[in-house]
Amino acid sequence: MSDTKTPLGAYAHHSRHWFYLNRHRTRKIKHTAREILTGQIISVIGAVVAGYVLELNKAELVTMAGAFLILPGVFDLGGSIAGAMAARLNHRLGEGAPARKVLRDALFHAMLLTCAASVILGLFGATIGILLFDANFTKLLVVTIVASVSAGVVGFPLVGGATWLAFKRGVDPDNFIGPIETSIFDTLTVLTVTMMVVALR
Amino acid sequence: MIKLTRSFIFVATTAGLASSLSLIGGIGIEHVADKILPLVPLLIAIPGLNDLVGDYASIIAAHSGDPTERKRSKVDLLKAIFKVLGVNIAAIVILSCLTAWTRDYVLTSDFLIRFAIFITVAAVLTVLLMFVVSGMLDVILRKKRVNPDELLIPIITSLADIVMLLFVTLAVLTLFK
Repeated sequence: MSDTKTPLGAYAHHSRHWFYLNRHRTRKIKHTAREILTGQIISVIGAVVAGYVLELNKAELVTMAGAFLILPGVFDLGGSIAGAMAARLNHRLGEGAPARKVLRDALFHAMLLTCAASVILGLFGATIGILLFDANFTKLLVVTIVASVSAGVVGFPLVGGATWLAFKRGVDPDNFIGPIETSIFDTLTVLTVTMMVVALR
Repeated sequence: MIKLTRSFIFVATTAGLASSLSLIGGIGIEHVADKILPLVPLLIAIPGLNDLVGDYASIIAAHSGDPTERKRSKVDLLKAIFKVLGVNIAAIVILSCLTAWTRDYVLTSDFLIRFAIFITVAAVLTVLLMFVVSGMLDVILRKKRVNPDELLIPIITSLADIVMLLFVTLAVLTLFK
């Protein structure tokens, strides 16, 4: 059925509307891609540094049964607690709370959380280690707890400082602190796990 | 005070259990530890792959849980992610191989091809899988009247880590044996 009542000008307006809508959509995709890319560049460089440190220390790590087993868990624990700490810090600073107090509280909370959560992770890791890989339960438990806490002692102030600096300079830390914090904790975790493996050998 | 302590115990337990899920991936890596050590580029790439899927998983999960997101904006997100993923994969392959080369690792063309194909296939499949799983979980959680924001990110990021480490284990046992 032909449409005889609609003037041709309305169709032109209609097609212009879709043109602008499509252009807006393409721009949005490009903008999202650019935001993701910035974070990923930091993440890839940090992760390759962590990989290099892992390569350098592989001979030490292989001497303890279960060291590679706990590594992903310790990576994950530090990264997730630091991410939560950065988000909390950003929101509290945004509410106008005094920076020094907020930073001190966030660091204390993150350290306490790491101590408690690393015990759970260590118990699970050591149990799997003893069941599947004939690992030493106590050594694996100690490595997990001390490595997680040591990585936190260095990593949390670094992530906290970066969040505070970003906030102070008017940049939203939520958009880029994630890749920074995973890179810091990947490298620190490999170093602290290696140091513990060497110390308990 | 009791409420605060309870809340702390709940958060600490959740963080501990969520990290313990990554141990499943660790079982695979520990199982092939002897075989993975001589494959220097793959060893160097492991943290990169882990971060890559973790970062994308949290982006996908964050968008899935957003009530303003529609099917079309999910397609837009997929397009944006795939634009960056290519750069990401290339960066991991090149930087891992260059770093391995500085450690006197002899790179053969056969290894390079297998390595590039593995990283590409593993990253693309994991990202696609995360899209499907987050979409399904989003529907299931909403039906069960649970806020997806609270559970989706920890579940999807842990799952992405496990899947990627299992891909690495599988590759060591089949592709690089």
